[in-house]
Amino acid sequence: MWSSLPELGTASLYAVLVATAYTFAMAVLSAGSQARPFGSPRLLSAARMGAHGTSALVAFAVLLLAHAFVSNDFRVSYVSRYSDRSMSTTELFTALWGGQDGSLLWWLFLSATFTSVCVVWLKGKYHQLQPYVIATLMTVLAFFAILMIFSANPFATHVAGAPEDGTGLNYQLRNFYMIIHPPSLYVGFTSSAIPFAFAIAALVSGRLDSEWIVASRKWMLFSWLFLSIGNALGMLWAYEELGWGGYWAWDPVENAAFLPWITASAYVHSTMIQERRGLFRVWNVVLIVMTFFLTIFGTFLTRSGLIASVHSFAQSGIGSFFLYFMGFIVCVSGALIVYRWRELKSTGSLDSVLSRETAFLLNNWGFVSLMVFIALATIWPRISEWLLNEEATLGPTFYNTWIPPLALLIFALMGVAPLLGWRKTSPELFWRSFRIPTAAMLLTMIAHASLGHRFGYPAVIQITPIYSGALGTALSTMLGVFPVITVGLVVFNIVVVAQEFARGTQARIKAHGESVGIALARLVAKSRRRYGGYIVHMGIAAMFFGFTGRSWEINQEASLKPGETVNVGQYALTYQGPRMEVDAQKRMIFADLAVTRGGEDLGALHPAKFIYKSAPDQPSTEVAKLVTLQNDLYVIVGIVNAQTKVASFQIHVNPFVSFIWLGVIILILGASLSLWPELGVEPVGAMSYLKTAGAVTSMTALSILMAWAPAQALHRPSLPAAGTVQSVPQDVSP
Amino acid sequence: MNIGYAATLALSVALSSPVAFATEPTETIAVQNEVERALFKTLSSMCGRPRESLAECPGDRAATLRAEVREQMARGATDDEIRAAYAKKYGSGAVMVPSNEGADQALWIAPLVVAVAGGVLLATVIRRLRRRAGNHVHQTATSAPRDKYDERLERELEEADS
Repeated sequence: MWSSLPELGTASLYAVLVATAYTFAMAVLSAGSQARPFGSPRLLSAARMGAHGTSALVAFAVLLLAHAFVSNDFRVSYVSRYSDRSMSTTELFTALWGGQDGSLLWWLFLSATFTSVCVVWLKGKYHQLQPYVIATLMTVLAFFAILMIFSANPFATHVAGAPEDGTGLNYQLRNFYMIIHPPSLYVGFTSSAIPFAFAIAALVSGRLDSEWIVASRKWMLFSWLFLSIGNALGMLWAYEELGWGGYWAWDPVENAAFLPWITASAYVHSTMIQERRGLFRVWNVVLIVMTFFLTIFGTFLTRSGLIASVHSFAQSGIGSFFLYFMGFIVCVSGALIVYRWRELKSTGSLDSVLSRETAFLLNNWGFVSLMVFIALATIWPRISEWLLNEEATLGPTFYNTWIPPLALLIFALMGVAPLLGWRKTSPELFWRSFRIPTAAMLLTMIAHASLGHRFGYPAVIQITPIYSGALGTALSTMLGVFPVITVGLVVFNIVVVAQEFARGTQARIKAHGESVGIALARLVAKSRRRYGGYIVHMGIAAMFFGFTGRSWEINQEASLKPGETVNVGQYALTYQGPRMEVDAQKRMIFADLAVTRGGEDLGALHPAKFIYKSAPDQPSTEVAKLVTLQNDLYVIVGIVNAQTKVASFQIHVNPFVSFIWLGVIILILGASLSLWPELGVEPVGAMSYLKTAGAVTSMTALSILMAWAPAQALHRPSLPAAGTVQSVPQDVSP
Repeated sequence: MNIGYAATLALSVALSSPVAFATEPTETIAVQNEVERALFKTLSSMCGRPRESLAECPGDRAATLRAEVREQMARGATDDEIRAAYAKKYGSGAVMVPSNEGADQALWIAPLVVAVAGGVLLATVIRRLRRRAGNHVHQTATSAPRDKYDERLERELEEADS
């Protein structure tokens, strides 16, 4: 069988396409009509089996490709381009999604897996939605199958025969982050197809009550969680591997992954209005469609070569496929929304402007405005080229000037919304809810303004305007005061969450006479979605504090002879000289530094350049970091002179970066709590208890794993990881 | 340092990129102060890596470009004048912050228009929904069945607050 592996792989892709077409047909035919509301159970059963069969075929294709990698089957062009004989099994596994064709197969695999999980979960429920959910998911799978068959076949062979050895995976991809970062993002991207399928099913079937919203809300939260994890791991990867001192550069590919996260965030809030009040049904459908569309749009950006990025895959001809598919999504969804417009229109009302509904609406407005701004800026270079015949490049400075105002508005609303009541907020409730958080915020801002500069964290900073004139001055003045505003809002948000926990606990104590500990535990256990959400808010507040750290960063460059010392912020770094080590793959040139703070020895840092045998002209930069909660000392070695031993260093002191990673871990725990399965076992019996135990165990394992992954990534020593400041020859990101 | 070590290091230098391991580095300190860092961050290094600014690229070409910019700074040129000259010499794509002139203004005006339009739409929707509440022509909207505990919690919170 293995001798014909490439043909078998290609055949399996064709089989996937046929299976999706069959399943689609069965699903549509099984759908109910007015005469037969519940449709044909036999055909639905065939569609369900078809979905599982499709998933099995996709899994088979993935196994074939994995086998090709581990057996060094260089007949397969993809295998020879992304692996070589020296790579470990783990690296070979990573290579599965290291390049374009394989990552598309991986995407298909995850989509198929979610489809199967969804079909299992749908058993016995949502009979009228189910056929269309399956049909929609099959359409998505068929698109990726077509894409691979006609444009990016991972089983394509070399025309000139198999080479002796492969090119090998880019060294930037041979690290821990690449094992977990792309799969996390892909899980987020692919799982967003499920809520999209429910939305389409609701539109086609006309079942536009809140049933589909309830059915799909956890799926969307799941997708949002993994998009969050994927983006956070991307930040960690950039921070560790790219060696420029930061974690987010507003690179088009970073933006592409961030855009669906924004609309998904808007949706997880606005869905609550529909659930509670039956309002904004059109808007919720639009947000779900937009989120799914943006996952495809992001993939298109990454893979079409439309926008230059350090992350993007090699330019290819698959862009037109994506364009057609995006057009298809917009046309079908748009037509269905227009067709169901009358039924979708809400008939409810808004009792008061001062209500949580209004706060959520404003939050949605903020999120969508942010999404529009980032999307336009991301594609601006192409727009400028096509319409203005002018090249354009938008660097981080541009984004960092325009985005903070909107981001802070959303951040402020995040704190305000939980304080407002549903329907209306009485003046008494308003005063009672706002007084403590507002007082805490104001006191913090006053303390920061008066004491911050003494500790090196001034409340107001100087920003160089990016434009001359009034606009530039207005923007830079606004940005200058953001440190104190952000710190104030961080405290406001944290106090709001603490107050909500305290309020809930007190309510339980009053109603049930429980002790504080029991009341708090039961409060959270019984209202996981609400309090999980609050914990997520706490995580985001911690992340904002980390982002604000940029305001006080110290960047310095130094050229040192062995024995010389440079002082950067509170640190003194003494250069001890160059050192070289050699292993089978590379030569490693270290520039050792002894670090002290206030006379206290903090150990040594070893920034380095690695020169790989396979790419000697592209030495990679290996960052060295000293991580504390207060700041990260981040050192990059530039040039090492062999004769004089003089080395040049870029040294960054990045305050509060650890709070970003801490915030991500809190966010994961909060979102996992919200997703936690219901413990009620209504159909009493051994199986129901078993299912519950299984669900709880798997969720526990998943939550620990999810929180562990970024924590593990954070605490990995930086030296074995790869990075570069040189040009990137290969695909380096999803 | 022993001879073998020195020889290996020299070999590595010889084999490696002239940029990273030049025997006579043309520029050891790329960015000398925060004023020039802020300006360099808005200028593309054209090093081959997309979107890498003059503040980050360590290459010789970037060093030459930095020297050019420093010269203009020393002559007293404003940031805008330096960026305009840079764009004129190396193309508009070499500047990483588009100017606030002509069609480039669409970059912030277009999203602003969308945001304002969204705000107006939001205000209209809120006003219409409020009017409905005033006319008592509502309450037919179907909300999802609520979690029993959530409803109880709301009641308990109200009682605790009162």
